[in-house]
Amino acid sequence: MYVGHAAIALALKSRSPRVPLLALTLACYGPDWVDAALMIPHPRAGMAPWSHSLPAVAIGALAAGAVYALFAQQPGATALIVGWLLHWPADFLTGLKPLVGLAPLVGLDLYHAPVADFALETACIVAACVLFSRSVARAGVRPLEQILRDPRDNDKQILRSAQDDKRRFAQDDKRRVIVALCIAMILLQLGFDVVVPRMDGLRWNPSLADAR
Amino acid sequence: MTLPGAVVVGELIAPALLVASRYAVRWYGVVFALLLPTCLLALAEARLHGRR
Repeated sequence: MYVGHAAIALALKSRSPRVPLLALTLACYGPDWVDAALMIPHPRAGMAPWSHSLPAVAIGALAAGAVYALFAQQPGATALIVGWLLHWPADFLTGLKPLVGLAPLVGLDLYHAPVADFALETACIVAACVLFSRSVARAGVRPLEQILRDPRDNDKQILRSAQDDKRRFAQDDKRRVIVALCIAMILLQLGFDVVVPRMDGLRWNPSLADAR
Repeated sequence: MTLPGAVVVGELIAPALLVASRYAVRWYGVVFALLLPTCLLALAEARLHGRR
């Protein structure tokens, strides 16, 4: 999965608003960053079990959670662990990933069925943006509700109405940012699905098709 | 360029540079592909918090 991992980060952010989105995104792409690090000094074959196998993903998730808990000094390590762990099932849908060692590789390999991959990842992106948008709207409304709970005099009423207008505009602005983000993510995925399946020239080969 | 110099460039350095650049392109390609959505989300979060 490509932009789908970012969608998972957005969905997790809607559940854990205090965790920085950057940390969640890095965790959701964690195994891919490990993969990139293992390409130093040069790309080598057979590195996938060190980044994308089930044990590697579990160890990486725990390490990311521990690092976050150590340095951030605030709750949210669980969200990072979940984000890192969800990388494997997400990649199972779109690629061929190792269970433990180099073989067998399992997955639905939707990278090589680009229309299906685009449909799946776009659905994830839209769902995540809707969840994220709702959580942002909730976060913006909460202080106003607190003011409404305790109206004391006319001045407060005037202030309330002014704040209401200001907040409504702020909410519209935030909604525009989220819509723009959603469109940008879909376009990024579209570019990926146009380019990547042509790079290796392989045909769609889901692991279940190998069963005899 | 002298003949030995041309041989060194042609036979040793040029292929090494070619291989290194191929690795670099692949590595930077992967890192760039990872950075794109990461930066997109970081930018969106910054805008949502009113930072530009």
